[in-house]
Amino acid sequence: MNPWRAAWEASEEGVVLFEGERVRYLNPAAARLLDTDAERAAGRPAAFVLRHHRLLELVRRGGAASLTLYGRRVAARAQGQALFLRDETEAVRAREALEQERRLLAHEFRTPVAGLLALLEVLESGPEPGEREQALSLMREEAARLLRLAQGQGQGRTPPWRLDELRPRLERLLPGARTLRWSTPHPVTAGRDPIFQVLLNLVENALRYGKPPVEVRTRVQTPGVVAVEVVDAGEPLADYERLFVPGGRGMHAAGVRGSGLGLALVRRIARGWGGEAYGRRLEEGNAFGVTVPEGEGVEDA
Amino acid sequence: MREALDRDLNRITEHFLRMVSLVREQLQLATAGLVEQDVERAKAAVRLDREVDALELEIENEVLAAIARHQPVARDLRFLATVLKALTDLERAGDYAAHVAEDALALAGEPPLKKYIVLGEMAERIETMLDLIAKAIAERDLHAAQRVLKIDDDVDDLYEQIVRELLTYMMEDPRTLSKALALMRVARSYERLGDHLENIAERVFFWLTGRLEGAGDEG
Repeated sequence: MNPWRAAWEASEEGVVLFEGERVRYLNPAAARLLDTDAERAAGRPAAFVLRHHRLLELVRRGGAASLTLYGRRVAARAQGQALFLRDETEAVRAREALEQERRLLAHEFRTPVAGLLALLEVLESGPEPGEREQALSLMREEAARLLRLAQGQGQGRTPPWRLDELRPRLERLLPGARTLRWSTPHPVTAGRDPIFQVLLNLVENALRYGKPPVEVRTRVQTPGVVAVEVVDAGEPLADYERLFVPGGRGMHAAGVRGSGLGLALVRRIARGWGGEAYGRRLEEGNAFGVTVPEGEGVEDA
Repeated sequence: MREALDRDLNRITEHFLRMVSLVREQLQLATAGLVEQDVERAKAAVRLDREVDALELEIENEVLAAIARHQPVARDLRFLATVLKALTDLERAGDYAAHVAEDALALAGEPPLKKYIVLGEMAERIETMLDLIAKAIAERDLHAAQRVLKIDDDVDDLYEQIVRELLTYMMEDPRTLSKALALMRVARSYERLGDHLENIAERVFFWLTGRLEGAGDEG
């Protein structure tokens, strides 16, 4: 085999050579992308082998285009009597995954930053004595938490602690959270930062899409595992699992703008400590929660 | 004589493959219009329908001219009969893609009722059916034609799934009624589009085997 041909045969880029309107040569990579047989293709009309009007136009006029061929994303370039095809499916998937990560990160920061802005407004409006220190302390805590989040810290196991510890911060960052009921007697050992992020998302969802009363509660799921749940009195939902798919939104979100990323984020955080996120129908209401390693007990302050 | 007939048959095949490719592009544009709320691509899908319709007439005339000129028999005649019958199905497939695009235009600009995962899966399957029809015709590939029939069963299953899901939405929350009905119409368009492609695959089976029955038995 001549060395040029051997190089083309081994190439990962697809190459199709034409003679007029007929295919003269097709390398294996091109045969795969065009779902055809390289040997049979030689000598056949280009239209029979390419079977795609945009590709044919490229071959006739030259130029480049991005196309979907047999479910693959392909970059095509025609030059003279040659057509070059490059499979970009994996590269496109990687770009999409990166974009998804960026959107998740933006979602993680959105609610806390909105809370910080609300606290800034409190400071600007001439707060009551004591309120200023409280707001500043919360802002400091929240800024430190966001910094830890950005640096990937605060994810490890902790000594046992109880969730109601997070209540004041949650209420200051999400004003609607003041109406919540709390029943969280079971200690947990997951990090405060990730649990707080989970609660921010679940509570915000319940306040926005569910119906009051909304309750934060814990229960023992299995020995050693606590379920942390946010429960509201909303109507049954069609499909709980789909809501955890990025972009999957429930019917009660119809007409309300949102990213559809909150529960996907909650699941990712829960899996980070070895737990799971779920949604389920209760007798009268919906529960969205995460499973968390249980703590042995908390010393009362 | 034979050379002239082959030339005509090749030209008809090329034009039919172009029509399949145009319908595939229509489907891609319409689905992008729906899933990504892309108004421009939805409009392009509607516009493309005129080109599909014009090509149908052109191919029909070519087939009739080839029959009159060459008086073909056996497999050649079956091929021309296949194209003539399949043209109607393919043109209708294009119409359904245009219907999806029109519904996408009506739904655009409003928050989506849900992420269109199942509808996207239906569109992907139908795209594969179009690819396989083109392969079956260009390469006389019986197996590709039979795979089309199998994939249409998947499309039907997905249709049942989305209808059940949309009915639940409507029963649970009447506010979703108009959007859910529009999405049901979209799902129906995809399902009917799949049925027309199934008809074409059965015709290709007939062309290649001379039999009308048993197309779905193997493959």
